[in-house]
Amino acid sequence: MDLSYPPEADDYRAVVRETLAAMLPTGWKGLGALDDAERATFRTFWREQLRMHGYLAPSWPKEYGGGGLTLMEQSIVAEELVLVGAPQHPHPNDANAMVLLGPTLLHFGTEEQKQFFLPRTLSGEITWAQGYSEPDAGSDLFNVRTRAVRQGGHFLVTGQKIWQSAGLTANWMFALVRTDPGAPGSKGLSFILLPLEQEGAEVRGIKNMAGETDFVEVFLNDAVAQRDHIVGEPGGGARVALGLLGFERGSGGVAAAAASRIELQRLAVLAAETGRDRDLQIRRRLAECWTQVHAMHCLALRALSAGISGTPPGPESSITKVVVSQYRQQVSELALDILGPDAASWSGQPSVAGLGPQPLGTDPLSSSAWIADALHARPGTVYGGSLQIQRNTIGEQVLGLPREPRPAASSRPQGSVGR
Amino acid sequence: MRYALSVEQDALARETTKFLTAALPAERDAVLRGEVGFDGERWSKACAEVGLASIGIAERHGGAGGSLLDIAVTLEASGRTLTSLPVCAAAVGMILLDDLAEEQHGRDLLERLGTGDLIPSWVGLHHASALSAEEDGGGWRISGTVRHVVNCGATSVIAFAGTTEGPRAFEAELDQAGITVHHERAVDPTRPLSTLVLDRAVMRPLHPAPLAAARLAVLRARVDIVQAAEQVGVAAAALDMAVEYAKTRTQFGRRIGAFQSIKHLLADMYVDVEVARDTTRYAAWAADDPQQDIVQLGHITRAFVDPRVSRVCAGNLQILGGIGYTWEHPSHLYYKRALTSERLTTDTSSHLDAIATRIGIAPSSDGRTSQQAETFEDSGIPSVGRQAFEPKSLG
Repeated sequence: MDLSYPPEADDYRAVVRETLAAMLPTGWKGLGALDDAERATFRTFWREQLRMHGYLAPSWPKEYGGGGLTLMEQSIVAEELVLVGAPQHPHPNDANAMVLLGPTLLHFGTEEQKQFFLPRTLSGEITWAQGYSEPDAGSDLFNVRTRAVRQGGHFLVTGQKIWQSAGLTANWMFALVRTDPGAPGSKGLSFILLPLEQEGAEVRGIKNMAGETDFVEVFLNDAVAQRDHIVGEPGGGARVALGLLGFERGSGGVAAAAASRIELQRLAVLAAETGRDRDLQIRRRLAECWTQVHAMHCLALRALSAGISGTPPGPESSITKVVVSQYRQQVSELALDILGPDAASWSGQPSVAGLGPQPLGTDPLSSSAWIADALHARPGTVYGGSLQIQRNTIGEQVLGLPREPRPAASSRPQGSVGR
Repeated sequence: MRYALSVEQDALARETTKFLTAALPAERDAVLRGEVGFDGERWSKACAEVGLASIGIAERHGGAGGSLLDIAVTLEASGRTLTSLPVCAAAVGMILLDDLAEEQHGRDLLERLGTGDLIPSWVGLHHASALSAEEDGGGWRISGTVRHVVNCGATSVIAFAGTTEGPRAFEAELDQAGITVHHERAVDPTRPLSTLVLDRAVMRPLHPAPLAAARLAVLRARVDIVQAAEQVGVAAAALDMAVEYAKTRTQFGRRIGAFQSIKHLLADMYVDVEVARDTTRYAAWAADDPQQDIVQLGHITRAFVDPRVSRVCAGNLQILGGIGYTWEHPSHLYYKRALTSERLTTDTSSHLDAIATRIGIAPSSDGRTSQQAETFEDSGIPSVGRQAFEPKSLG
């Protein structure tokens, strides 16, 4: 066992640090320290800086405009960005693009698809939404009903998708659709790419409980997709969708733990400024959070080591999801406790980051930022595989406990519902 | 970067497990019958064949020169079976003696520890010492009473006692006029406890000079970390027991592990064990790195691990239903080990308070906010990769 970084990784980190320092404006204090206008300007500037240095899509091969970085280098870049408080994904749709769609195309796509989509994705010309969930397909993902019917060189896609993050700024969607209604469950699904700016696609924003309109529902009514925009085998969509789970395992955990540490430091400042640190229980709860942040760091190193070693995916991602999503709820509630009655009304700088901790430079005294994080932490145990699903997965696949009773095949609804 | 144990460490874990598993049935029967003690021959074998009492002794002292992680690996195995063999006592002995003992006296102690001849108990390391020491002629006499001393057939005591110039470390055979050992009725029958009454007991200095507080703190942390490893073993065994039961016990026409409530409880227990192990392994690995704040790591690791271990052992009792409540079934042993380990030396609240202080969270009385934030940042755990650039002082 050796959790130290090898010398070449330390050298690489030094280069990244120098590079980032040169890229950032003088007097930089973190994204959280900018006002709205400054932030908007910065994001555009920064995205281009990242792209030029290969940091926007670090896992993509260089020939496709990415950084061609190893897993360890990706982890270092992600961490260093957190430490300086600069975003890895400046545009709302960047995460979908760089972390999900890009690797999917790289592994399953044709050369034509890669050549068409990847450069346009990197440039930001194409912005992606992830079209998996539907009103009847949440945890039961493969209960997808959106139908794609062949018509000559096209597919006509009809159905409804919901919960697409950054949907209002997306102009394309990668979607799981049913191309073979005769095949049950996960069989008969295809992974297809389709443009959202067309007559057959209507995007409607959904306001979340934090008052933001970020995610959307998408109504598809004979929306047109090119036949050669199916990724992977027709009918092999489930495999493509699940393939995402194997990509870049372990590259983001260290950065996430660092982000939580920065957040906790900010919370300690709030506790000190409000005098709530005079309360022994508050101090102990802050210390307890500190132990969890440390544990998440240890878990991240384990996941990184596992990813680097190339062993098949293990339980690390389920464990991480369970631990991190619950931690966010715990620490954000502690913040509300420290705010006390101030948790009851919005005041101060609004939150900057939609998911996960606010970046460096965020005002510790802003109750709005803490309240938003507490509200955002609730769906953290729902999306991406709910806590209950994670526990089922751990119980069945890791511990070998008897599986859930499955519904009889004939009771499963087939085909699409349209609207 | 490699999280997995080395080939040698894996082998050590396997050998230790195999040895202790072979001892388990007889030990378990004895414990449940109320017998106290361990098989001396088996212990000598363990020392000779597996090296359980010499792995962590430096090569210059005649040991195998292993790391704290090596010791931790054996402790995790011993926690799994709750062995009566003095594995933990030997581990603490290795940590304390290897660091403090000097000259011939020290080398003799280490040799006898390694062969299994010397089995230590230890007092005054975690708690402000109830013991005081005074010079008498050329030697020292130690007085005081200490309760709840781990006594796995100890032959010797390592004592940290207060003197006018600060705490000193001493050692002596238990069997002497000045020391009376009163056996307590330990709640955890697998870990006998005693009250030691020292009345001007003659003891030899283990170390020529009084010990700096920082040095004692490091020794405490090293002991805490290997005990966390033992805790991980305790929890792992409790989890295994519960999973096994859930796969075999049938009610309502199916194995109870099919029910989500059971399945989910087990999944949570599994996560607890995994993160407890990850954190403990990290600490044991990092403990030998002088750039790490090992005192803080000791506090963090115990504060994180202990409550989770208790939770897992309690979860095991829940899953087992009525049977878990009986004397016959061993799950109560694991629960009792967890609940006593969490409280025997330093409890979780004390660890949390120490962490809070070390990271600079203190009551603000005079607007020292920005100073505190600085301290917080400076004394935070550096990410492993940062050490090469910003070695943090341990002060």
